[in-house]
This record gives sequence, C-alpha cells and structure tokens, in this order.
Amino acid sequence: MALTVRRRINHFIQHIEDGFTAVFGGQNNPLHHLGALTIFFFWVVLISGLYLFAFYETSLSGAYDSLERITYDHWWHAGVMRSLHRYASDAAVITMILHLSREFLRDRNRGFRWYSWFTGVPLLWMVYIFGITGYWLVWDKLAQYIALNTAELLDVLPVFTDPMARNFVIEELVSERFFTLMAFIHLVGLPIILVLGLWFHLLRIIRPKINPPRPLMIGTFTALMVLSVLRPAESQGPADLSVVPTQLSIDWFYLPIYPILDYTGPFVLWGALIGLTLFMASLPWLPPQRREPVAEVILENCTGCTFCADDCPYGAIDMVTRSDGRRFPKEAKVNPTLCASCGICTGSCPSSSPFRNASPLVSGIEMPQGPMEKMKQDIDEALRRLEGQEQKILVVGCEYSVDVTEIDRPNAAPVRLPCAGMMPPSAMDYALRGLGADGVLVTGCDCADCQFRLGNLWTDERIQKKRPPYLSGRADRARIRTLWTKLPGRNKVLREFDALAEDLKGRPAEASGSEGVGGTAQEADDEQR
Amino acid sequence: MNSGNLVRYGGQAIFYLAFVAVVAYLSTSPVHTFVPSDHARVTVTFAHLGEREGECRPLTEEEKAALPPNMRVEEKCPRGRVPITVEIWLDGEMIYGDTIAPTGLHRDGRSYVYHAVTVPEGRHYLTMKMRDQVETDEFNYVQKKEVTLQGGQSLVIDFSAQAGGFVLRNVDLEAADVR
Repeated sequence: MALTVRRRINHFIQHIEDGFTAVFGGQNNPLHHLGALTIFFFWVVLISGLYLFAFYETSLSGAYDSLERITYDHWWHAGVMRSLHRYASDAAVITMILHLSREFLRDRNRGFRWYSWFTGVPLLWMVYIFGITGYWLVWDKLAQYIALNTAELLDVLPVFTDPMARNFVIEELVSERFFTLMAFIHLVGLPIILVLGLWFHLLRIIRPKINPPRPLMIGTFTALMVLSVLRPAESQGPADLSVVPTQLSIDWFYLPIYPILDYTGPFVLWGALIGLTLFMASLPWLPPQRREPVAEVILENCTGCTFCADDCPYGAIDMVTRSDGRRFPKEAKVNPTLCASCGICTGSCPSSSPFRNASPLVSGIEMPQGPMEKMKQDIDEALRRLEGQEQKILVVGCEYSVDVTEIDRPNAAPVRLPCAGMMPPSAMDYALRGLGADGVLVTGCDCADCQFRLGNLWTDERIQKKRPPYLSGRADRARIRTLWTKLPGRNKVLREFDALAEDLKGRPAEASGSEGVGGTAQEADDEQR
Repeated sequence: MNSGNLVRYGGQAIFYLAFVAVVAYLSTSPVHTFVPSDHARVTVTFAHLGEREGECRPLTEEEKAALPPNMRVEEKCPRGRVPITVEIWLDGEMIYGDTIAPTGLHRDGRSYVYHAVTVPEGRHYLTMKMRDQVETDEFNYVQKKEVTLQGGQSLVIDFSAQAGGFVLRNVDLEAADVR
C-alpha cells in the first residue's frame, strides 16, 4: 500500500522533474544533482567560514562586536561572506531534504542501497548541530535563545546533574571556556566529522557525483551572492541575560526545533527526534526489498578483461587471481551484498556478443533472471514479429523509464531490460547487421538520473567508442539513437522514434543473417579490442 | 534569442529567483515569539546541598583503631543528604513546587533546581519557601518579596545559604520585603 502510494507520488513528481529537464536539460537538471549540490554548498560554507574566521573574535565579549564590524564596517567583503555563509548553509538544507525525499520516493533507499541511506541519517544530525552551533557563535539575542533552549533540552537527559540552562540566565555564570568549546566544535570538530560522515555515506558508490555540473555551480553561487549583497545577514542585538528575547527572526532551516520545544516541552521533542531518527534509519527495511538474483560469473567465458569491474556503478565486482588455471591472470568475482542486479556488467562483457557462434549464448557474467541468451531471443523474436513490415526498428528500454512495450508503432520491435546499460553494443550491431533491423532506439532514465547511476552514460559512451566494449566500427551509427527521458516521456520517445523512422526511409537495412565472430569468449574479447 | 532559448533561460532565471526567495524568506521568517512582549520570564534555579541525613556521632576507640592511622577521625557522619523541598508562589498561586533528591550514587551531592515560567508584566507578590532539613516538616527558609516586572524581563530566583536564603537576580533592588 505504502509502496503504491510512493510510486504514484513519484510518478507525479517525475512530471515536475520533466519540466526542470525541459529548462535545464537532463545533464544540468538540479534535481539530478541534489546530493552534489549539498556538498557544493558545504564547500561554500567552509570557505566563507574560513574567511570569516580571520575577522571573528572567539570570545563572549568580542564575538558580537566583531560580527557587527564584519557586517557593517567590512560589508563589501567580510559582510558578504557572512551572508554567503548563512545562505549557503540554508541552501544546503533545502537540497539535502530534497535529496533524501527524492531518493525515498524513487525507492532508492532499500535493498543494496541501505548503506548509503543509513549512513545519511547521522549526517542529518551533524548538519543540524553544525548550523545550531554556528548561530550560537554570533552571541546575539537569537544565540541567547538557542543557548538557553539547547541547555533546557539537554538538561532533561539523565546524563547531566548540574542544569546547564542555569548558566544562560545569570550573566556571571556564562562560561568563556564553554563558548570557546562551542567555537571549537563549530570551526574544527564538526567540519572534520562531517567530511568523515560524507566519506562513509559515499563509500559504496563508485565515481560519486561530488561536484554538480559547472552551470549549476555558477548559477547557484551567483544567485546566493546576489542575495548576500541585496539582503545581508544581520545579528539581532547583543545577548543580554537580564532580558529574555521576546520576538526572534528564526532561521527555519536550522532552528525549527526551538519553537517546537517552546510549545511541546523537551520530552515530547526528544521523543519526536529519536522516533524520527529511528524511523528514518529503519526505512530501508520498511518493507525489506525483494532481492533479485545477483550477477554470476561464468568462469569459462570470463577472460578477466576488467570491463565489468570498471563499469559496475556500485563496485560490486572485484578482479581476483584466476582460480581455474587458465592463462588469463584475473577473473571477475561478484560481491553479492553490493550487487544491484542491474545487469550493466553483462552489457560490458565482450562475451555477451550475440554474434558469437555459441548456443546457447552464455556470457562471462550473467544475470540469472535475464541471461544473455534470453535477451538475444527477445531481440530475435521482436524483430521476427515485424516480418513483412517495410521498416523494422528495435526499441530497447529500461524498466524505470518509459515502457517501450507500449510504443504503438507497427514498425517497432520493443525489448525491455532492467537497465539500458545491460545491452551490449554488439547486440545493437547484431540487430542491424545480423537481423536486418533498419534502426535501433535505446531509451532509458533521464541524463544523470539513471536508476542504476551510470547505465545511460555507459551506453552512450560505448556507442561513441569512448568506453569499452565499443560498438563495432562496422555498425552504422546513423541508425542508432539514444533517448534518455523520465517516466512521463512517452511522447518524447514516440517523437524520437518517428524521427528515426523518417530518417531511415529510403535507406535499406544493411545486411541480414548472422555474422559470427567465433564461439569462444577470447574471440569475442579480441573483437572488442 | 529564439523562443526555445527564451523558455530555457527564462525558466532558469525563475528557478534561481524562487530558490533564493525561499532561502531569503525562511532564513528569518516568520518571526517566532518566545515570550510575549508584555510578559516576563521567572526562572527558579539554584544548587543547594541539603543537610546530612542523620546526626554525626563520635567514633568509639575500637572503631578508631580499626582505621588506618592517617584516616582516623573523631566522628562518623552519614554520607547522604536530605532532599530539599521548594515551593515558589506568585500572587497566591504555586508556580513551582517539588522535592529534589540529592545527586550522586551515594545521594551526597547537591540538589539542583531549574524551572522557568512566563508571567504577565506588572507588580507581583512572591513567596519562596525551602526546606533542607530532616527533622522538621516546616520550611526553614521562607521569604516574601514584591517585585515589579517589565515585559521581557528575566527574573531569576537563586538561593544562597551564605546570603541567608533566596536571592533575586536581574531585578531592581526596589523589590521589597513583604511581611
């Protein structure tokens, strides 16, 4: 039930995301780079923070005045940096929340992805503590409010005997050392812990997107800079413990817990925070994802070429010393806990070539639920169904984008795979030169938004001969097109299909009949190299 | 510029504008009222060591002899402290009342009090009571004060045995004793 609701929401949101793709293009769609944007904002915060530290006085008596000087006397450099520091921090919260919401709605938090989700939960706490300690350092009325309420919140924990909050209602009791400790936590401790947390978060991701595309960096940075100049961040009057802050301008990105605390009290808030944290941490198993069979190495067809290990988006394949005594130095070994069952590895294996005179076709690495022989048969069958048609176009699509089986064109031969990256380029060539198809259209998830991270990118690069296994030079590239789009992109696929069909008119298919490259994996491998 | 580019760049401009508008607004708004401007905050907070749980008694010669020479003392006292009982009344209404156990595994630490309430500004009559003894049910510290609180004022009710009892902080000294 919950999963169905999630899918429906996801489908609706993909319409909105499609609008962003129309404006930014898939490659630069900000919603495709939310995690990377968060990290980018973190770097902006870090660098602007370091700059501010040169002018900031780390003491109770000097903090507020130094920030006033930064804001007003040096507004044109340090003041702008202060504003940038604040607004980039706020922007990071927006992208962070969108990032986790989107991954959840895309069902990218369960199964083999549990680790990235799970390690992201402590990051939320770190980011919030980072922000809260930052506001503390201003030592204005807002900082006074935060200090008092944080102390009241912590005091209910059974670890403290002496109520810390007492120190924030009596001027003489406020500790200079405690303030220095807060500064140390914000300026040194938390940045290090946050970077470490990020490292853990990305540990199971190969080639993680650390940086967003340059246009997005320039766009967001410029927007934040303009905001910083037009609406400088300001303090809210010096802290005065004899006076209780009445009305406060709250940063709702970082400080919403404080108004909640005022209304609910500390026990309810702690309960909500702990409950929410546990709920978030347990989401990868609510419910547990049905595990697809993982990739299997078929040693007799594995030449140890390393293509699969290079292409696996999750680092689930290691190249280890050969165990069967054959002359190849390495063999692929799958780590089942990391395998996403996407099939990108089978698409990268030279032994997956349907041109091989092997029957049944068995690759060096296979997906038990969708072996290469089945894919070959599906292509054969799909094109055979179009016998008699003037034109035959193979349409390959993934399971997470437009359903190509619903393409209502008489000349379309649809084949659906878990990921577009599962299709070896030799299979496109096979359809064209082996089976006489007029064209091939490969479609799948939007650019930079592949369900399995890199399937669409690898497909493009294989076709463009930028990444092995290459599409054979004998294949006519003008007959092959790729289109990366979102779930609601059916019309785009139809338009692209029709355009391809139009281009191919009057161009007879190149060949018909099988053109074998030999039956062994080594021969297939040599063909690729 | 063709219409396609106009849509693209216009759309991007709208996105960045909306993005910074959300950042700008939520970074300071809406304003939160912690304490209404016509209210003050009264905080009862102090740390106090209650009296010993029982009387000290002289050690017998045998007990002294059993002790190492460098640790021989004249009398033995119970380690634990009595809980303290505090009541704070404002204009005849109890705003805080509790019995607070001493801290520590051996109940030999100080009792800590922290409680805050918001009260309307104006003149108020405070009655502050505390008992830190074991042998009586009466409050051994009782003080009454009349205070005038301004909106936004933070009145702290502290306690110092050396000062003779409750101490009001962050309030004008015109706070008068009330008999």
